[in-house]
Amino acid sequence: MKNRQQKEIVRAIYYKDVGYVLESIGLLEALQRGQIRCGICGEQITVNNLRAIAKKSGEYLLCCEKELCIQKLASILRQVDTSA
Amino acid sequence: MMTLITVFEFIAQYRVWGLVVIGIGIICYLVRVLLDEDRSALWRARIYKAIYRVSGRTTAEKEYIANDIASRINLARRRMPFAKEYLPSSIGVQWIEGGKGEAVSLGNDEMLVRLDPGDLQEENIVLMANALVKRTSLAGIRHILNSPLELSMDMNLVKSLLTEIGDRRILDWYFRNEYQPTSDDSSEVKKWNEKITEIDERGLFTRLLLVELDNYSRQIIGKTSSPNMLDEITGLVEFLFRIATKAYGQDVPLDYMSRYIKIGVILVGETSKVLSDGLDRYLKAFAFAMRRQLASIYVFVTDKEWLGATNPEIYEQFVKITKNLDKDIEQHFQIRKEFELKYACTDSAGNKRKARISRYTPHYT
Repeated sequence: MKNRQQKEIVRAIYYKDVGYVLESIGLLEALQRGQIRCGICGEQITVNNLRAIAKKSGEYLLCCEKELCIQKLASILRQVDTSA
Repeated sequence: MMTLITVFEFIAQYRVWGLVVIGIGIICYLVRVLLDEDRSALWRARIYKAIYRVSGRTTAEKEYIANDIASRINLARRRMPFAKEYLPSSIGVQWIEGGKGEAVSLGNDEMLVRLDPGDLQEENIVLMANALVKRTSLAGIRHILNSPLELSMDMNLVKSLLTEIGDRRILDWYFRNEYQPTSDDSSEVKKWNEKITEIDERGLFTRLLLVELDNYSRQIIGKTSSPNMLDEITGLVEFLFRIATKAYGQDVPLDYMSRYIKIGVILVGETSKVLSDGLDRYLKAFAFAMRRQLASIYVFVTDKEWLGATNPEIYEQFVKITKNLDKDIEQHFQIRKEFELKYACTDSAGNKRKARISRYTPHYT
């Protein structure tokens, strides 16, 4: 007998809304000035290459669209925060 | 076209009653779709796609993207050959309302992903399949696994999920942009990926390895992780890899005993042995596994598919005898049969095989 498990909800940003979302969290200006870099590989983040936004220990982490960067970001989010 | 002709012929023959029967059939199908969340999402996706193509409306595109991802991944997940539970669990897409003046809240350790336009749906599906696998599978053991092994298992789970979707464009995109580059990125990932792939090709990844890892994660709840735990898991992978790559006549270990994993595998695959000696040797092997107090025993039956074409009588005989094995095991031993899964695979020599795997958990007094 197979069981249905709970649904996993993934929150997603529509590609046309990236600017609005960044504005809402106060990062749009910094991004437009070229000051935001991928938290994993260090590549400059633009509205077009942004793939994910995460929050770790109260800090925003932005990630570019490279697959390895997303994988590493997902791993970082899973790590237990022991700094507190 | 043939179906349509058949329907017209049916109506022409039975007239009103034919229409009534077809009408009932359509109503039954619609009720089935409505009751099934994933199937109704698939229809919603099709309708919104058509609306988006005609109108170019943003809301229609968003509905299309979200419903298409959820329905295709969830229906594929349901077809995946897991043993007792759906792993990974189902997925839903929730859009962040990003209009002007909308406040976006993001919790700690939470991630928002940007999805591409509906025309690039392959990328979106691969991205979400990755997210689903990473967030919901291998629960309770991810902190033990080393990165290359974890990555290899994830990659093969995503590959299985995307294969079940049945869209070659999605698989092509995944292999070209993610699977191959990730595998080639490090020799350690390549090494583990080759092992997991071999295990998967024999059908033992989702039907045995993940079952045992899920069982393992339940046993170690609340225990501090240690290097021994990683050794236990890598040992299990190596054990299954040796079985998966076993050559004809080669002896390989058929039980694996560590602190928390105690399993045995009984291989039933050699036609001549089964036909000449019957099932005694396998029942003896099962009794031996019971004496060793193994926590679970798998019976893995493979038959040569081509035998059915070359010698149907011998093939029928083989199938009949091996079917009796299950009855004999349940009759002779105090066990609980957890599942039996039938599937097709290729052996290490590339021969097509039909396979059947059953998991038994013994009761020891």
